[in-house]
Amino acid sequence: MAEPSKYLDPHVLNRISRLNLRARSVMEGFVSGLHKSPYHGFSVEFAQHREYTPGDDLRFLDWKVYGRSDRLYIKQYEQETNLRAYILLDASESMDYKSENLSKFDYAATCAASIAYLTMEQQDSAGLVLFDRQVTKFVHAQCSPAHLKVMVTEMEAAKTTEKTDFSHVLHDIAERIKQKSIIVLISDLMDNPESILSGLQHFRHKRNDVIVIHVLDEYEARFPFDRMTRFDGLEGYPHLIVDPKALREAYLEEVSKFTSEMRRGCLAQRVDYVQVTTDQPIEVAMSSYLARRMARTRAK
Amino acid sequence: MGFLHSGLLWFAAAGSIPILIHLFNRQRYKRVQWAAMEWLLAAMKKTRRRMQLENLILLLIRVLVLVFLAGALARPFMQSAFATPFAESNTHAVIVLDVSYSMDYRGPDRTTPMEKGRQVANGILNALKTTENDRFSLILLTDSPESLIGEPSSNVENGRRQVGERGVTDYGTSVAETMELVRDALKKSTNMVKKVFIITDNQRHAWTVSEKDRTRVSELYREVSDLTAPNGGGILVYDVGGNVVDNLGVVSLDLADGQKVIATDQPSEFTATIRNHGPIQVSGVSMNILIDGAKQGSYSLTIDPNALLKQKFVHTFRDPGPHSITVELEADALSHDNRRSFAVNVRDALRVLIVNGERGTSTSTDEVAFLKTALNPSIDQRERLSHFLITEVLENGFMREDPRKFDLVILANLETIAPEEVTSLEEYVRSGGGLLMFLGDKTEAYTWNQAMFRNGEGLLPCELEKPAGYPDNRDVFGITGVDYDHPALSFFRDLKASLTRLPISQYYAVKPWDPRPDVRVMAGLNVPGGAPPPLLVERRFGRGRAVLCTTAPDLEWGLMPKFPGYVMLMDQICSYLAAPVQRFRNIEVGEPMEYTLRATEFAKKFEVVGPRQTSSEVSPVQVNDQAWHLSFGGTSEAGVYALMRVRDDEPAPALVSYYAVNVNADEGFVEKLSEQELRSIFPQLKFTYVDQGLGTEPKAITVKAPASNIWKYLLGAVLALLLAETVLAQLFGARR
Repeated sequence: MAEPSKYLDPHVLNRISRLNLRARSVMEGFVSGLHKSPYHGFSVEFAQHREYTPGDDLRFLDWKVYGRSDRLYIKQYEQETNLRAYILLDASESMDYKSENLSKFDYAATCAASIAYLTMEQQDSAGLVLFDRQVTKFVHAQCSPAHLKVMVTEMEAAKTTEKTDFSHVLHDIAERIKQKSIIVLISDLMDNPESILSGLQHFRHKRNDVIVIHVLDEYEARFPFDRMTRFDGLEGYPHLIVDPKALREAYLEEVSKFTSEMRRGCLAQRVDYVQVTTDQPIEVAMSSYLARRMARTRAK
Repeated sequence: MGFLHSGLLWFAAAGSIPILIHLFNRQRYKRVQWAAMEWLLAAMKKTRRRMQLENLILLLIRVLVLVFLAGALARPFMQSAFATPFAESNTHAVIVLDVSYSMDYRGPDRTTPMEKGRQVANGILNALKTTENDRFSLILLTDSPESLIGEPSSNVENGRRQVGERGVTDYGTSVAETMELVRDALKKSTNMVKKVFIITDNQRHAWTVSEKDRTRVSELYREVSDLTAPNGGGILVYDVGGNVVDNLGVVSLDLADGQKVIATDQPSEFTATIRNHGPIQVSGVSMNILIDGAKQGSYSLTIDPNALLKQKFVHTFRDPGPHSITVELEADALSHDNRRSFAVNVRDALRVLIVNGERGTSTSTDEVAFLKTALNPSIDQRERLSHFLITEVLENGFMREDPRKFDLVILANLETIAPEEVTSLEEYVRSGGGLLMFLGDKTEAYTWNQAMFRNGEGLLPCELEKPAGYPDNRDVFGITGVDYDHPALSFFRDLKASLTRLPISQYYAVKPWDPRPDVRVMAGLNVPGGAPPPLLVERRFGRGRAVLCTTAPDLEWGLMPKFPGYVMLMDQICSYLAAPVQRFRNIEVGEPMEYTLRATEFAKKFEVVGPRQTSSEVSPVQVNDQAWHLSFGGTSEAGVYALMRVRDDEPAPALVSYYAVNVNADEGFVEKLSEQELRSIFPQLKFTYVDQGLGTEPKAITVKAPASNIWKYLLGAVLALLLAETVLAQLFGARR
């Protein structure tokens, strides 16, 4: 039986937590600063100041400080950013592929659990949607340690046997999430880009902030095979016996073409697109993304 | 199109190896589950055609490399207009040059066949295109043929030198013997065209083979013909002999009939046989007699055309020991056969040991009294009325005598014979001694068979059964079935009655035996009914001879000793057995000189002095405790050779024996074999006959071979393909 904390690796969490502490503004940005919260926090307990950034609610501007120093600071309170984050975790059969250590699903689930954990750490609520060709599990966003445990348990219990079909499932999820949320889609995106982008557009249309974390196995990204190989296709694809060396160039072109198309599509819809491979340390991948996002946010 | 080594074409099957490897590799794959099949399928769709083409190109190149390599190894050749530009000369010429002494026949035009032969051989060498692929071998045609250049060579200069240096030898000719070397040379040849050039005076004798060898030789000729047949090759017989035949030759020199022993102070008679090979009577030809190299006399001869003349002459030797006799005709067109020598060992006496099995008190009761008288009638044994010197011992005294001191041992009616005596006698006979065995009433058949017959391994030529005949000598048998060709009995050819009428009443019956080459029945008994039982049987044993007489030498089993024929018979048989073996001293050119040393003759070093006074050292090889053997093979020249013993304690080398080395007399008969006769004798030999007169340039030496150098182009293609494979594999690989 899997341990409840399988996807909450203390090591990873520790790294990410410390990262968070070191770059608090980054995390804040992740949850609030970059995405102007449509909701107000209920807490009145002052926590700290932070520099004003465009989009912040002017109600929390510390006018006294402005008067004294001619600089704009926002007063921050505990539970200031009571946001919803829905993590859409792909549980299709293709996510079960692994070449070395972690399967793509395990890697994605660890990312998902880490994000959920951090979100809840900051008193925001997080929800989880497991899907393949359809939604297999929908866990509404809540904020409690017990809820985190529920999410992890669901991820552990997920079975990856079906094919992905983004054309329907993303629309379905978009309809089911009524409130504006941060949507974090973690998937290997094994479908055609049009279907995926169409689904993402639906989220954007409903004014959700969308982050796509594209998980690829290191072998899928590099295709390092060098001798005759029989590839047994997952998700109902037939097998193929080929000399991988002869195919590598064309294959990598295909991968590049796909990711470029996704990247362009996401950019057009103002969706963050992050590509990670399973050989990258999760904390490194996330911190890299967050750093870039923060830099972009600051630039605005 | 054909292939020189078509067997190697099987290697072309190696061309399937790359395909098999390809198929095998397709079966040897790693199996993985794969999620990103969409991308893989898309990549596959995009590259499939290119990959297939690249793989096909590489596979094709690899297959072609192996197929072309196998093709190159199989040495293809093509005989077509298309292949003509590639054609090169590719002939292996096996030059067989006759250097037998008949090639020295100087005809009316004052030239010899050898001179013409050299010209032909040089012409062939000059015609060879060794800068292309022509090669040659050089074989000397004699009855001791020699492969001068056995391996195919392109060194024409060396060939010319060898042809120039080689003179006529004293050897005879045997095409059959030489063809064995020709076959070996052809088998070594890798050339497309194989040609054998036999340059000979084409005398009849050279092609003659015995009936026994005919099948083998015919097969050999067929094999050589088959080897040379393909691609325009063949056998060319260049007849360089003249047409005139007039030659005198000494064809033999031997002791006269009945003369078996040459003893000092007794006249010895010799017979020289001279043949006139020509169609004209020759008269006034002088024949000189030389004893030990010094002229002793001369005869003027007249010989009818195509006839033999037997010229007898007598000489009395005063000193015992080795001597040589030479007869020499005056010079004619062919000098090699004008001289012939004979080597003898002259004895002062022949020592005979008689072992008496039944000593009697009177001549009639003594077993050997008549025999002794027959061999030496002198009352005092020291008196020289005969060349036999007799020592008599009783049966029990035999062990004390060393047989090696005697030339002949006679066993007369012995009851038994001890194993030690058998061993001693066998060693004695094996090393060249003579043994005469008489049987009688005392002979114990079982003991004799056990000791002396030993299932055919012993000295007895046949197994004894039991005494037979007329008891108490009531009647007599005559002698029948006499082998007058036997040297011991040839004397009686003209005196048959004196032998066949000898009365014998009793004899020892022997068991019949299967014919053996070492056992010869000399005479039998005229017993009524059935086959005549043997009376005299000879057994060759090592270098010696043993004769069994199945009756007794005294009056007990017949009245034979009372008849004059008995004396002659005993003298002839005992002389035959006791006489020094002259044959081994009289050999033909090329035969080895053999000599078995007695203990007293032993030395570490011997010398052989040849006819030109050149000396060669010979070392004895120990055969057993008592015997050493000398062998000298350098008898390539006719004449008298002297075997000398060199000892530190002797002031000068001592003469041990003379050897007369003579030419093969048949070679002197320079009768030619016509082309038609040759074809009819050996239909298996496919040849072209070229009557080669002096000054005529050799023709049809080489032929343009079918294009045989295709292998070079194939090999070039292999290299080009290998290069292409490397480049393309790099190119295709870089894209991957």
